[in-house]
Amino acid sequence: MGTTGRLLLAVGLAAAAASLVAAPPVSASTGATGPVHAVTATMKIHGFDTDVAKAHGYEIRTAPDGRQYSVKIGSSDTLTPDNTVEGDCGISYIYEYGIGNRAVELYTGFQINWPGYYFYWRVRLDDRGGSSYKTWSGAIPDFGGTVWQVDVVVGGLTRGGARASVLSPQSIAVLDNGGVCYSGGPYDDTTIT
Amino acid sequence: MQYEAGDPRRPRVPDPADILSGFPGRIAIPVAPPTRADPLIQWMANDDRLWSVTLDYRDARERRLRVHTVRSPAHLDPRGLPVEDLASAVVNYLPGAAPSTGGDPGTGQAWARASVTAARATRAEVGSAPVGAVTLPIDGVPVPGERVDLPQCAAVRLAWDDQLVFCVGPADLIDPLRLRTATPQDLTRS
Repeated sequence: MGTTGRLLLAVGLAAAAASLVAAPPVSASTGATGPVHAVTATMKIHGFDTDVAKAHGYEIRTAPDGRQYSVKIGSSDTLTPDNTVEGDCGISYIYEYGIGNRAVELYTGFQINWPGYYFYWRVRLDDRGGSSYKTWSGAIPDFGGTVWQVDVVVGGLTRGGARASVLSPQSIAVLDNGGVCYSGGPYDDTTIT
Repeated sequence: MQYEAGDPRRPRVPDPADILSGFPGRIAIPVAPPTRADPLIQWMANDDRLWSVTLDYRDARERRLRVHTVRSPAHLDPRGLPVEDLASAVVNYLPGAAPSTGGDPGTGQAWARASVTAARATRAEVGSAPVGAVTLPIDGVPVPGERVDLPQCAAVRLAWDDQLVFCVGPADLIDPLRLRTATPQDLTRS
């Protein structure tokens, strides 16, 4: 598959009406400088897409214990370390700031430990007026296909408490090796004024 | 079935022409894309309705030119709509903090904080930079807008009828830029 085809295929018009269940955060950030109130969460390999793996020169094998792993086609390797073994494949985050004028600013994204093929990212924004959903998808643009981030201002909200959540397990990155790496579901709270 | 069993539903990978057919408006692309100009595509949906399409082009020096087209907000509930501005366009264009290495969770969290801190600084930088008027042709018709120049890039915001178009990239890629309406063939060629 050529570069153009690969990049164009990276566009994912995902099925949008999925179940909307936010997983609890895995860990909280506690740094003393910069943004400190948001929650980040690891990203984990959930499974493998054999078609994507094959298109990038990987094959999916099954270990004696039943676990699947991805290796280069023809490789003598018996297990890809860290992804299916450790379960971790990156980190995802979301930060939400109330910026006045009944608006919030959201920063969300992920970093994966291996190059990715495409991503699908769904955020639920809850405020006192209800919920809305922001979805992004496509090719992973930065740092060799390992980083995607976005900044979006959302307006017209209702004053009061608000929460932004990365929806898990819908929010994923598909790795070049076919691994499906999904967000642990970080969230952040703010006050809309 | 997988989804009902608890597995996440996987996004299907469609024909990119679906973007064009599903986008409620026109999508702008460069008349003369940079060298090696295969577009990298992203989209955003607001409440499951396509809201914007982002095309990234790379020139021979791997410099990026981004064209971001936003649909008209007409007929949409204004509650919770994205507010598209030059600051967001620049923040989303710049790559942000370099990724952490080693997979250590603490390192990753530091990276996330650094990325957000950098993004907020960029937003403030754009907010304090002088904004000038600009006109850029789309389909041969001059379209008015505004432009901001930063050390890292230049960014243009165009009011294309009731849609918005943002172009971000090195100033020497922005200066000669002309745009046109995309066709399905533009996004599906290989």
